[in-house]
Amino acid sequence: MELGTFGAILGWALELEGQAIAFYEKCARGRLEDTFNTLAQGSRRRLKRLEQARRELVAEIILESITGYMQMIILWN
Amino acid sequence: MEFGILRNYIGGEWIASKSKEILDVRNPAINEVIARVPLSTVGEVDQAVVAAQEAFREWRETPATVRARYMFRLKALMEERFEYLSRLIVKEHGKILDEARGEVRRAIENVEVAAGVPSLMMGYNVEDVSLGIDEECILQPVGVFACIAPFNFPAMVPFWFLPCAITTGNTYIVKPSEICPISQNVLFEMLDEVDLPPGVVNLVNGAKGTVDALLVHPGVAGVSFVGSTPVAKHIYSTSAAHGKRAQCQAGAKNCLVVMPDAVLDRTVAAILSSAFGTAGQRCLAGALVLAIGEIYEPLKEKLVEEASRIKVGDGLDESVQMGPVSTRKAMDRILGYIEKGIEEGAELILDGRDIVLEDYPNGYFVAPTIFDQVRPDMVIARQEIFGPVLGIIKVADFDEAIDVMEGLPFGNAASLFTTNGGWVREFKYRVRAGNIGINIGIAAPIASFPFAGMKDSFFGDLHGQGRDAIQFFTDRKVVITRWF
Repeated sequence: MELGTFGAILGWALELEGQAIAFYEKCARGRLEDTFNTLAQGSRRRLKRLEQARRELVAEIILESITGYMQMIILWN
Repeated sequence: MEFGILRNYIGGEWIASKSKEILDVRNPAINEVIARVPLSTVGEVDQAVVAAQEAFREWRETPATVRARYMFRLKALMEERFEYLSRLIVKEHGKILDEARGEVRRAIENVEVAAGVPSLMMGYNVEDVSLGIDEECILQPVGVFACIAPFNFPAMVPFWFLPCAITTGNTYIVKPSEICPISQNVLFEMLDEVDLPPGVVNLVNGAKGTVDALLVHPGVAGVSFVGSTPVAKHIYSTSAAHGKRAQCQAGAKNCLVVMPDAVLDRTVAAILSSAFGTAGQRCLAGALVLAIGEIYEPLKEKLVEEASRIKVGDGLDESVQMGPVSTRKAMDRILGYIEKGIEEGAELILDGRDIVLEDYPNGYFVAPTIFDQVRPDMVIARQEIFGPVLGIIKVADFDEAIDVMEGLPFGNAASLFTTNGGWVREFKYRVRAGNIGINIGIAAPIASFPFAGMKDSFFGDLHGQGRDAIQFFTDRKVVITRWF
């Protein structure tokens, strides 16, 4: 997906955290169970924060920064 | 059809309208009917007013702290259903998901502010205005108020008024836009869930006939309206003729003044967001760029370059940056204005007319459009287009920019882009517009400030939101006391 809006960026971040949770949960067995459970817990916390950011910080007044984000993405690529 | 025929909410009950007149509600991205909205009868308006009048007697005696607590419950529900509501707005209106989220957030902010009514509604007093005599001013609710809502912010605009109106002790009737009525109906489901006493809030679907019935009804004490200037004038004069208070927020032609010292990249981003956000269908949208001096050429080039990259499509696709316009009629009107601009001799430097979207062949899409060589006397410079059309006027200096703005009939918003504090002061001091942005493209006041407006952009004395709203929804009563 093109990351041209805050929603797209945060949606992408939410998806990554979701994938991370699934991965950590799958790995959480045997000797490393606690370690991976801790990692999964961290991802769940970040997922909640991202979801909260999408609800509370995306006001129309800050949408104008989209251009800056696009430039950053181009630089990263 | 996803939502069926919408119902009215009167006296705490969902009631099917008896009206034979029913309109389709379409998703503008795909041009499919998603709901049907009845145009309620005069009798149904009367039923709502009577329910609100009956509820007022007990509601005004309900302690302010108790009235405020309903807002906490409402906020919790709105947060819980935030995404659902946002997606719904995209479907009925066409704006992109981020814009819909911003709209829901602003609606919630008004609920949050209204929860402070026990403080906001305080009166004032002075002891010993004369020997042994005290004087106080108390704020009291007035009665039944109504909101006539626009299509462009279907969830938010009624919430500029409703939370403040009911927490100050009034009862309320919302007439949602007949173009985008669904989100308001869903918000009323939440109001129903918070279990307000029956009749405190009422919803009557409809169009002009419903509005006129509200305006002449003797049981309605006041009206809040947001929409076009001709309709605002009608509502203001009819309300006044029938003894009602009215606050009517109207049309706009907002100017974005760019000084030679402006920070170009960030200014361009702000202008694009202002002009093309919500496909230009905002009363705060920037419609005219007044470029001063040597910044004119680089600004024009950069605006066209960046605007041509804006991705247009269905707002539910999160990669999309601009959605469709609301209706076929709106699209035809916008295209008509573009033709008019060409006829008048403006130079069309970015043409958004013939956009083809393979996945959405039936949607109402107009891509970002930019005119250069616009003159202040042209129709496209003077009339509100309410679509994604931006005009550029080259002006020699700051004073000429002020003159251009002064010559326009509207005074809703104006923005200045500069790094010079002196120009900022001059701009704030001289420009006759209600909402001023300094390096801000959309000067949208938060819920604790009034949504201002001047000239033909506002009719009334007290604006929506902020302290103005408390004043609008209350009467002042002065009590002078002496004890023997």
